[in-house]
Amino acid sequence: MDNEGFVVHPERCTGCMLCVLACSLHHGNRFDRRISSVEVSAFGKEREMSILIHEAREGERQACDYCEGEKQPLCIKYCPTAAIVRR
Amino acid sequence: MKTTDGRILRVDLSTGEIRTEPSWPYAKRFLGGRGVSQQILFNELSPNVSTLSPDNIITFGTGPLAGTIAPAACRLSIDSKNLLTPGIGSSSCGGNFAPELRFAGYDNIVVRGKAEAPVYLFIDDAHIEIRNASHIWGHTTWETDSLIKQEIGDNDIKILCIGPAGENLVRGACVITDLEKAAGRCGLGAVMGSKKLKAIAVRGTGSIEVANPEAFLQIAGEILEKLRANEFFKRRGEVGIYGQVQWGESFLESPWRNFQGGYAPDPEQTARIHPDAFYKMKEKAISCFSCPIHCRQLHKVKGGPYDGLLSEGLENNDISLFGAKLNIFDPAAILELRSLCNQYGLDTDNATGAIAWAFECYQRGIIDEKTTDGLKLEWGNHEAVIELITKITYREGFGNILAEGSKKASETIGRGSEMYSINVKGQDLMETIWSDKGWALGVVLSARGGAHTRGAVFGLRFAGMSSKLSQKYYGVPTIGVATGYEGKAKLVTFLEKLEALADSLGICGFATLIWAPPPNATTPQDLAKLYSAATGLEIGDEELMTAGERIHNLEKAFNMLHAGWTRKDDYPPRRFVKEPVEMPGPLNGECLPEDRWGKMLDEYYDLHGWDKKTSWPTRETFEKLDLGDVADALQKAGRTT
Repeated sequence: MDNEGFVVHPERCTGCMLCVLACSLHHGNRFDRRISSVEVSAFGKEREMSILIHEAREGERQACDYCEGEKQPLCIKYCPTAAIVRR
Repeated sequence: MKTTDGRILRVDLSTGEIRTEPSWPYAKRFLGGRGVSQQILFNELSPNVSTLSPDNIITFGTGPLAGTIAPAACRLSIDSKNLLTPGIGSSSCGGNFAPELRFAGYDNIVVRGKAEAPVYLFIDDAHIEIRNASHIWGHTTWETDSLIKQEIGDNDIKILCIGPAGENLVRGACVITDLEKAAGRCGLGAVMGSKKLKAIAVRGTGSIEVANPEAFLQIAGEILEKLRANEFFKRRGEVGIYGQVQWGESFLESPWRNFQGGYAPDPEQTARIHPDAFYKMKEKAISCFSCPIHCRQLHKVKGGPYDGLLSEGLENNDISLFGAKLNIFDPAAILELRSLCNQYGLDTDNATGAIAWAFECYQRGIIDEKTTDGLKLEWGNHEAVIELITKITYREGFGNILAEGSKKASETIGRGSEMYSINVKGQDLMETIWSDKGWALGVVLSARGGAHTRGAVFGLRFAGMSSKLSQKYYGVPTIGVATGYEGKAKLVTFLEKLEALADSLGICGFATLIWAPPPNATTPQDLAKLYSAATGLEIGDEELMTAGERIHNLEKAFNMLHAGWTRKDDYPPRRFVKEPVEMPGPLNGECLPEDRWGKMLDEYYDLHGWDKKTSWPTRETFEKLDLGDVADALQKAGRTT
């Protein structure tokens, strides 16, 4: 699944949530999954993963700003398996 | 919430009373997680309360770093009175439950009492509900996870539960979260079962604020980079927790046929349970919360009687126990056995302890088919092992005897079978301890009974580490000299503190110096920086390690009060003292002679400030650790040195 600026590879995702945590710290100076622009979910015994990068604000959830002010998007920086990479 | 604003949730299942209180008054001195839980147990449990009594307390605690981006901040410590020993029970698990609990606003859950009928606890942020679980009682852990998620209508909710083994009060019953992550030891699943508490479900939608976010992210980022650069972790992340396993003569890690040897003598058998055999079945890697290591692999069996089985998180223990200990050299069967134990909520270490004891008794003619319900307990008979696991879980026939653990089972059978129960203080061992002296000392002196995650050092894995590096990170030059005694007492005291620290902050020990070689592993200095940035308190590593020592001494105090153990209880099982390994290789002849062990004990007690005759901390030691109130309580009970 593609997003503008990012390519996500859910099959590489291990579900560590480091991207979600880093993103929420960027947006709100706190660890808060609700405000993160990255949403990661696991499904079933197969642990199938989904990675969504929200590009529009939805309620408390912040729109991805590609980590304005950072050298690189934090989700990319902190992902240990390159499940989120630059396009 | 701010890191220091978490609450303790207290639930009385007898009365239905639910209340909360701030955790900080406890956490100031005991950090969180295991430390805070231990304080509650010491203060609130009378020595005459039995483990399965409604008056017993079980706690579920996580630490101030859980839920943050601190690497591997995922641990939940479950603490209660032990069901296999008369002392403290304590076991931890990773996964996602602990962070979810923090997002709901709680650091610890304290449960006492007993429900009239099966219940589960539903924590939905501030809304707490004790729900009927009669329709879930009897189901496996996997079914329970699914049923509760369906009932609440939320796939993302985090579940912690017991299986039929816990319901049936099996002494080796464990607690399972995220399907296959277990808090295995000490019979804590049966404590939940005795309270008719089938599960805890938590949904947390809140946030966690650290005092200094910028510094916190910087420190966490530096540690993450270290962990990602460590070859040890790379192997774990790619192959699994068992990635470093090297079964064989140079390690003696395998309790061959109930510790009748230290490795499988047939290299062909060893090859069949080599990590590569399991790696072929790998589907993908799975992480616990905030962990970059992703050491838990998901395996899928293809073909054969277990075709299609999905099993997550295979550990060294499983291969060692089902492989070498019970002589099952079929990787698919090992995955099936592990998976079955997880579904039943039965700890693999404790279950295989009792089963291996039975196999050795059968080998020696102490028991026969008349005792075993007709089962032929011939080494390697994996169908018999499957049947025994089921019989133990449901306490059927011979399984009802084994459900008590090997120590009590041997007391029931008698006829010399006691010799083959390999336990420490009542808890079955999974560890071989002939050769690696720091490993042996930590395993035998563990406050929760025989077990290795309380100070034992895996010296054979650090073999060859330079004395300079060892001195710098562990305070002794000899971590890499596994078979030597020099420095091992000091090393164990260091790791005891670090283990207590990690468990109390909510950090997984796998990511730290305890399990991984320096420099690229989390150090006490790293933890102090994270703790300071999270809480806003400037605390150095020495002060934090002193808190770890405080927690360790508090557990010792619990054991003084409840178990009354003294120095004589701190010796290894006879097999490791009197029966040196007789297997070809560099470790042939290794054992733990009583006189040499005694000298190591003296050194260990001295380092702790514990009396050499009784093994008990002196009043001065307690006071030095800000545990004067604990010394007072012990004095009142007549337990002083």
